[in-house]
Amino acid sequence: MTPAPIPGNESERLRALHELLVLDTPPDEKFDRVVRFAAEQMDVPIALVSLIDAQRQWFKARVGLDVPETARDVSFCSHAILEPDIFVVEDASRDQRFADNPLVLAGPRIRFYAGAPLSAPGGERIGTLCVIDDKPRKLGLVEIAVLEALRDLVNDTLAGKPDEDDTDNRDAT
Amino acid sequence: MNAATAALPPVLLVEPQFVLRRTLVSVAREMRLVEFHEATNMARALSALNSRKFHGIVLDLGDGAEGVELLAELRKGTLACSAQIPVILMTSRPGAQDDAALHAFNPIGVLQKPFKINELLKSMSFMAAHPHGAH
Repeated sequence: MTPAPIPGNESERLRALHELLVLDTPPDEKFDRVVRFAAEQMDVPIALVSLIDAQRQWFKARVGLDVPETARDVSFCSHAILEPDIFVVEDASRDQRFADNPLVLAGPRIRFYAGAPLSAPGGERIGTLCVIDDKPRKLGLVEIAVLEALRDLVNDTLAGKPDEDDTDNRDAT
Repeated sequence: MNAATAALPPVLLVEPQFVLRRTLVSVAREMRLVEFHEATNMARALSALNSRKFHGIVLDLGDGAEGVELLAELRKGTLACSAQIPVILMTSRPGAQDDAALHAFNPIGVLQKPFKINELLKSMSFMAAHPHGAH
C-alpha cells in the first residue's frame, strides 16, 4: 500500500477546511441528497462526501458505508485531492498503490473508485465527492459529467451558497 | 450566456428537484447538447413559454394535473411556441410510460423516474433532430 503524499499546501488546506466549520457536524439533507443521487446515477453501492483532515477522512454524507470516518493513510480520497481532475481507480486489486489496502482486502472491498476533488472557496482541495464499487469498472463520459456537476453542487453548498429550493422556501427533492 | 453556449439550441427544463435539475443543466452544457433554461414550477414554465421561443421542452409532470394541463395548452397552440414543439416527459407516476392519454400528446419519450441521465440524453438527440424544434 502506498499512502498518499501530503500536499505541498497542507497547512493552508487544513486551515481552509477547518474554517468551513463543517467537520463533525450532523448530517445535512443538502449533502445527503447529492450522495444518494450520485449512487443512483452511477449505479454504485457507495457514495461519499469525504473531507480530508490531518489524520483522518471524515464523511459529511454517505450512502452504503456504516463508518463515519477512516484513517487518512488508507484513504483513496487522499490521493484524489493531489490533482484537480477526477481521480479514477478502475480495479484497486490490480493497482500496486491499493492492492494490499485494508479497504480493498476487507470490507468494503473497494475495486472501483472515482473521486472528484472538492474545493474550499479559496481553491484548496479539502476532500472529494466519490463513488465506490466492489466490482471493477470504467467511468463513461456522461458519468464524468454527472460527477463533475454534483461536485460543483457540493462546492456551492460548502461555500454556503443557497440553492433555489432555499430561495423558494421549499424542499423540492 | 457566453460564446461557448450561444450556439446551443435553447430547451426549457421544467423540473422542481434541485439536484436533478442542476445536474441536467450542467451535463447538457458539458456535452454541448442544448442550453437548458430552467423553470422550477408550472407557473414559471408558462411565463417562459409565453416570452420566448424554445427548441423543445423537457417537462416533469409533477403530482397534480398542472403538467397535463400545460401540455394540453401547448398542443392547442395557445402559447407563444409552436403547437408541435418536441416534448420529453418525466414522471414518478407508475405506469405512465404506457398511458395512452399521455402518448396522445405525441411526446418524444416518457421517462419513468428515477432514470439514468443517459436515457434522457438519448431522447434529447431525437429532440435535436425534430423538424418542429426550431419553430
